Amino acid sequence: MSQGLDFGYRRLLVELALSASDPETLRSVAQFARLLGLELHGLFIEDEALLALADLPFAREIRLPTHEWGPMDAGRLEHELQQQANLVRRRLEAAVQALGMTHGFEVLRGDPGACLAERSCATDIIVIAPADAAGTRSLRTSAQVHEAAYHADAATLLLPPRPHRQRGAVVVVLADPADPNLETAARIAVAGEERLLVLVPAVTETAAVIARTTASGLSGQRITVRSLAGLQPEDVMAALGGEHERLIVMTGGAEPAGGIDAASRIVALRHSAVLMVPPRGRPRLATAREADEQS
Amino acid sequence: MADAPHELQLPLMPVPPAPAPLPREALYRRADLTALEFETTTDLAPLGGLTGQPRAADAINFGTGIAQQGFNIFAIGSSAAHIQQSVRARLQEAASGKPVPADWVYVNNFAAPHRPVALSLPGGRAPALEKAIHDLIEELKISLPAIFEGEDYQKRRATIEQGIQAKNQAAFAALNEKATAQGVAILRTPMGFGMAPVQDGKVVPPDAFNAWPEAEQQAVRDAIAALEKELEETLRALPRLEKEARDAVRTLERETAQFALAQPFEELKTGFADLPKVLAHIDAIRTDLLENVQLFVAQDAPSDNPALAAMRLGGTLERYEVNVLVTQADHGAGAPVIEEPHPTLATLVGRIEYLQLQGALVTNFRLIKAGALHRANGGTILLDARALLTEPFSWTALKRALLRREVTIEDISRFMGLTTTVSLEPDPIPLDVKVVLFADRTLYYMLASLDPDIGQFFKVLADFDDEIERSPANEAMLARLIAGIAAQNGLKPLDRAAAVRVVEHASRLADDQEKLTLLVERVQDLVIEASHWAGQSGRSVITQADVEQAIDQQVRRASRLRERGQEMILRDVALIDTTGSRVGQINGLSVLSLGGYAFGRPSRITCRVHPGAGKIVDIEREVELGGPLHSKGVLILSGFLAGRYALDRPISVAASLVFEQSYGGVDGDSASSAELYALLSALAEIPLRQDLAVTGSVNQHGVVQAIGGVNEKIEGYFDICVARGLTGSQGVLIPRANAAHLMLRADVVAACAAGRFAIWPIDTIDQGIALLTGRPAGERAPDGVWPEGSVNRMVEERLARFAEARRGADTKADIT
Repeated sequence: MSQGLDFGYRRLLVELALSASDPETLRSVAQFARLLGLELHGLFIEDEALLALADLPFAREIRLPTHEWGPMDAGRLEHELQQQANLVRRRLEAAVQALGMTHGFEVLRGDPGACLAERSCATDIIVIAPADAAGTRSLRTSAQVHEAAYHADAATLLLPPRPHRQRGAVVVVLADPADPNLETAARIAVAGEERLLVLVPAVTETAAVIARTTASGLSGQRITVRSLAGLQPEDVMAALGGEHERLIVMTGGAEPAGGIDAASRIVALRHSAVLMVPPRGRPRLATAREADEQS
Repeated sequence: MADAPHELQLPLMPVPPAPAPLPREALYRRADLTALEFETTTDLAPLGGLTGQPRAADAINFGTGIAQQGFNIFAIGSSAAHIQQSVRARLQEAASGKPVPADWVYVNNFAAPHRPVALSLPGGRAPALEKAIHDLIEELKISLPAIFEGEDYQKRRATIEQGIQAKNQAAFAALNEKATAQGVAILRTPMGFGMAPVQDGKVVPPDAFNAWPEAEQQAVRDAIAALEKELEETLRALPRLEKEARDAVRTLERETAQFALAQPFEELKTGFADLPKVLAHIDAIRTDLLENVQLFVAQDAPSDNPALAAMRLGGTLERYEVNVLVTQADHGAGAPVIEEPHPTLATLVGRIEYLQLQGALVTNFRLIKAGALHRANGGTILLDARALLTEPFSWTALKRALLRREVTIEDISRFMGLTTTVSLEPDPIPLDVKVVLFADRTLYYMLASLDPDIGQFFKVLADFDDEIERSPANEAMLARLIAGIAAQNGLKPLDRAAAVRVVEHASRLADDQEKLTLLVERVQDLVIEASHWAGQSGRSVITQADVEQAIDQQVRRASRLRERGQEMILRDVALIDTTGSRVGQINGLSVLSLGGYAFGRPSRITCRVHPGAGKIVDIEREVELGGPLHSKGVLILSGFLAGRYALDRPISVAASLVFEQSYGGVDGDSASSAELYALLSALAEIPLRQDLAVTGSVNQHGVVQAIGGVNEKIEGYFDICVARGLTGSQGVLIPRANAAHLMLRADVVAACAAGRFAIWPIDTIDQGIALLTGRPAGERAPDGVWPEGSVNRMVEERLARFAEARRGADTKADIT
């Protein structure tokens, strides 16, 4: 287990009311928190819009799996939200206890996207769990949560739909030769005792990359550097080849590879998790300190 | 009584001449090994196996040579005859030339796991199958996950899943878009979905909504009502889409696995191409594996329980392994010869073991264990009948297996309702085995009388003799057997004199000058002990002195009771006279057998007579200390008296006979002649010599008949006489028929040779009574009268007086 991985992030933030609440996903999330040396923090956000809806006299609900319609009742809704919160809390506890980690859990009420944006900070990594089988990501609330995650100062961790690899190289896609994600990925590789595969723009000087990486404590023998023809997802896929990577670290925002859609495509095609770091690279230390003071 | 004696048919018998004491050479027969040239037994070709047992050997050869059902062998004889060892050697010899039987394995029955399948393979090939399948599974544990994690599979699977997910998302997106256009939001609730009016991207609060004009409210309600139907349809389509996805993924898995399995399975099958059933099982594995490929892809973490891990139980992949029940790979050529010393039901027909797992008893086909019948299948099994019969259910299970010609593993605890856990019903295994049972004769005859099936299942009786004729050839054979014993047991060799002495002792063990014992164990014990004493004396060869010492020590170790008995006699606690003469008193001889050691001792027998109704009271019988044979002997005396003396009048005597100072049971009729002598002495009022002891049974005609233990009886009385000092007049009367059984101790023979002790062979009571009284018994003259002064005359006269006395008493009684 990596402890205190000094790369500027403190918490892995996961929204549990709309996604990531199944045990398998929670185990994956906990394993990433352990790998990255982060505290796992669960947020259960009760959607205020739901409660408002329940107060409307004509409000109805189709319940699964019976597919039967029935009137919405505010009292029952509150009770069910509480039960759901308790359930995911227990699942979260089970996932972290198995790994011997610390964790936090909060129940909030409000607009899910706003709550997430409010509770996250630059030293957080927000988990974007895979869409559920119902494909409800397009629904209003889910979309709001994802939007909030993408636009937050925090980094984003996109998980693949099925249990991903437990072992495998850490891959970093450098947007430019000076991309600070190289050090971030190197530290993760050291913590996870994995190889590091560095995908660099063609013009990058390999020796310099290796020098920066070894400075992070990774043995030179465990570093592979490959050139990227470009920064399109297809270029990344081509450079990865037959690699069985565990995690891909890349910069968010930088077009085109940094786009959320591109990252999502890579996740889907490679079945690997993607850590999308804000364009600035490491969060500012001042921001980290501010976060400490806030907490 | 007025009948004239001459008118009666008298039981006249010729009276043999008075016997002379037996000469020295009649008391002990020397062995004759002159035809055998050797200095020590190392010069002799050793013998073993079924030496001296031609009848049993023929039976064994017949039994092993015949293949038909029911011709199993029942070998009977004394356990000391080493039957089992002898037969085992012969059977192993015969088995070495027979074909190697099949191996048997149990494999999983994928259609019905509770009924494991038995497969047969040519002898010795089962381990190869087990290893090949195990290696294949181990290889697949690595290769299948690698293939399923490979880019190709992952891409294809992702395409399937994304396709389905895209359909879902498209449906929801379309619905969501439509709803948004109509000012409605679809919301996810904890248990499903709901719809709400929205304005400016936010759900309209109830107060605001209620403030809307009624028409607007109604429009939204109508829109929601319409959208609800579409939402319902969209949701109803989800399970079908999910099933499509699952089916597509399963098909992909099967295609991927089929490709991955093709070559390894073809390679596996080439090794067993000649075994159709094995090939069918391999195909069954492949079929099951294709259906359950996820077992390999999502393998369990290694068990934390080392015991379980070591047994490889509980792992989901265990279903493909092979349980080698029996293999011929671990023994040499030929058919197996298996001995099962503890034939419980489980050790005989096999068992199903269970493991306790989280409070439940669990089992599977890999926990089926072979029984002795499985291991002996195709060969021979040797069982001790007593052990078999004393184990519950084993005898009937064996018969059932022989009748059905198959071994069925029977879990008796289930039959009896002791356990109700889930168990297995493995395929029965065809049985082709020769069973050899061993028992002593008593057990066999008892079993034969109680179980009519024995003739059906054990048609070959191998009856082992305890002894053989003593001829020079057989003495030579025994000498070679002794050489074999010495060689097999790593003993010192015997020199000629020692071998001669052992052969002679074998005759003593047979209790017969004309026989040699075949109780090999007793001969072996003697040679082992003699070898020990030779070693103690620093000799590399066993001499006659070592054999003598071994015999003496064997006797000494067991003779505490004998010595206590002799001590009681010598201290006159137990009253035995060895000099003088007494009326109605005689020294009888008896034998005590304790723990395999027998010794003789004298017993005083007395008789008192008085007028009576012709009844002889056996005091031992009256107090229930006499056995039936003893009582029979005493009752014969009445017949003798009546036949010889009561020719014209009823016997009017009452007699009582007793073994003095006997406080234990008495049985056998070997004292009946002594009792008759005492009775005749008491009737005739003639004293009997107390320096003589008597043994022998008698019939109603006064003929003395053979008894057992003659050597021990003579030696028992001789020891008392020696302790008190031999007088030269002392001796023992034995039945003449027992003269051939004499193999007496050297000191007894020496005393007889020196005229200080004597053994008289007796044919009739008349001979014996003459020796004991010093008077002729007398022979009834043609006129029916016994000679004056003869014992018989005096007996008859006394009986006549008793009759008169009794008649007088009866007359008085009538008058009163």
